[in-house]
Amino acid sequence: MKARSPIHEIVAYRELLWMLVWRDIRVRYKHSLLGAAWAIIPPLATTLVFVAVFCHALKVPARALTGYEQVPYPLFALAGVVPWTYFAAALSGAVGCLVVNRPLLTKIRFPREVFPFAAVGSAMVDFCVAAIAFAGVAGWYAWRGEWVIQPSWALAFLPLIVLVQTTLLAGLALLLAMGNAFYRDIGFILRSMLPLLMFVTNVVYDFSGLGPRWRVIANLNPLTPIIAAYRQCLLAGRFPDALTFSYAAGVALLTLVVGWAWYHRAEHAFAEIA
Amino acid sequence: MRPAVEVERLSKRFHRVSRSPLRRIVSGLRGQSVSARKTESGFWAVQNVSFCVAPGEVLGIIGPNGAGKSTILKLLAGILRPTEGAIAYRGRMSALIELGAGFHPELTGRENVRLNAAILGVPQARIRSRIDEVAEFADLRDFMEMPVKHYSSGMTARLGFSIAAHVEPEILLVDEVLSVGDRVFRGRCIDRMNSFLRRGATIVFVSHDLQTVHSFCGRVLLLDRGRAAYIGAPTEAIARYQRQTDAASCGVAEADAALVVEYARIVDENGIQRFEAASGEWFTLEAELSVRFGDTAATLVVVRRSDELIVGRIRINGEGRTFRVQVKMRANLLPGEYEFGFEAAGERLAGRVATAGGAPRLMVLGCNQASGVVDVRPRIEVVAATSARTT
Repeated sequence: MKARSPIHEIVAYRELLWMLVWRDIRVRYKHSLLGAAWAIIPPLATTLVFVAVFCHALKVPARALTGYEQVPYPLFALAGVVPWTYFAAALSGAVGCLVVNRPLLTKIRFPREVFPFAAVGSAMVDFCVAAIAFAGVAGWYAWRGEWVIQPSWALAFLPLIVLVQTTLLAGLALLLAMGNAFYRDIGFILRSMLPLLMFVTNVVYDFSGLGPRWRVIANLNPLTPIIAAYRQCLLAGRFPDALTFSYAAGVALLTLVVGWAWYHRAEHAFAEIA
Repeated sequence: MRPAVEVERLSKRFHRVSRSPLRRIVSGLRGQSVSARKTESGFWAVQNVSFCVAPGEVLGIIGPNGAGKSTILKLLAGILRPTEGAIAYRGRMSALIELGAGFHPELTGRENVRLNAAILGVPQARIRSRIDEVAEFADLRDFMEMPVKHYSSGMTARLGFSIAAHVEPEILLVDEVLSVGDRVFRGRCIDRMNSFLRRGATIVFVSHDLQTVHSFCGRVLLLDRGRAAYIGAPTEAIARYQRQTDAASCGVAEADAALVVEYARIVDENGIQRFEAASGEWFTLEAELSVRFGDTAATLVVVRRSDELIVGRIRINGEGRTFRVQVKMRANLLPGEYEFGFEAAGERLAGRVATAGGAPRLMVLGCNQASGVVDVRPRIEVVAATSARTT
């Protein structure tokens, strides 16, 4: 019985990780008429709601909401709602994963990290599908001439932004899954805080209108620089803001390291308590 | 040769009461075992158990419910962490603790085989090439595309065993999984485990099925309330186990008894001890009876739960004498578990029997649908049928 590092273990069990992601996706859409379209409809619907409220009911000028000169608001909002949906879906899936998989936890030995990671993975699959929808909407605006962008190297940054967000999600998923196993309140707190969190993040508006001090506070939430980076790279063809984005990357990495180490120390107890 | 499994002074404590969430989060997130070490009152599910299993050996673990059998297996499998003690093993381990744990009801048999194989750590490439073998072994070739939620519990168990059997472990932990599935499938599972053994695998086998434990295990560990009561020869372990379970229901103390059953056991024609018989099979009850006082008519009774069947009566005379008795009989009994005992007849003597070694038990197997005790082997046929309507 050799003690292996948790990273070696998860690599050895990577097939289980893929299988769990595949199981989640397969079961989720098996009995639905629209299937994978459900990865696209919720972010589109959320975007439409905010378009209706901000642009039609309140008649806020797009410039004030987006901080960009040449970006239509629906496209701007979708660029925030899609990563936000990834964030919310991954964490909602992860928080209950140990409780839901209790029969497996108490019967079979394998690295317990696979459950939160699989929750992030299956949210990521939906994220990729939604990204295609975003590309479609962007293409439509470009074709109508309402949105103009020069091809830019900044697009090469996109995988790095996804990686930073995924790292943050993996760390939070471990912490939430573990916390909820010991203390079911974590699940309730998450579910009640997610909508609130959406409004202190730059999901449907930008914080460029805020004063410098408030902007610093808003950027403490690591998700805000990440969503800003998506927009800078996708909508404006600019590189992400170096300072805030490296801060977000640092927080993401720290969350994963701390979350994983903590999870690994506590995981032997899951079979007894989950 | 170094042992395949080494267990030293293994103990596991569970909490008797569930602690408040506040205290749990403090100790849990600090990485302490949920079964706290010193402070709180706990329940020792396993206490100070040590044993070794040599490569290629089958160790059986028996004991009454709650003796700690499954806890030991879960500790071996790494699902639970010991409170005290150490476990070491050499080789790839696979645990059959519950068949089909992790099956998803919505997925088909084939999809579940792939998922389960991943859970058990089998590379997908290997399971893909053997998936038909798995289906064949489980007898489910025509059901592999059906969602598992439509399977019967026997089918689920068969598929579960079949997957686990194709993992080809070097150390196999088996927990009571053979009790599901019919007799044919059980035989096939034993065959499969025997073929593992021939390849040098090591098996730790937990079961209530004493016949299988007796014939399959090289050594048996008997547990009693978390402690090792005996480890050694299967026959002795099973005898002690039966004595232990009968101790409560035995009744009269030996000193007060008119008749003492020194030992009693059931054997087949070759003198090999039996715990199971097919309905209709011949078997022999061997017993040694000591008359402590008076003239005693010993009555052989067969008991099944509340039903009592008096088989016959032997007159044995002479205080202080011991008689060896052999009763050959046929298990013309309906399927179920039967206990064989003696009663003392006569004035003042009724009921005053002590059974030193515990009453032997026999599991009668069969698929007779009748109810009761005796299999009268009826031939039932419809001789004639008339219609109520006359034309």
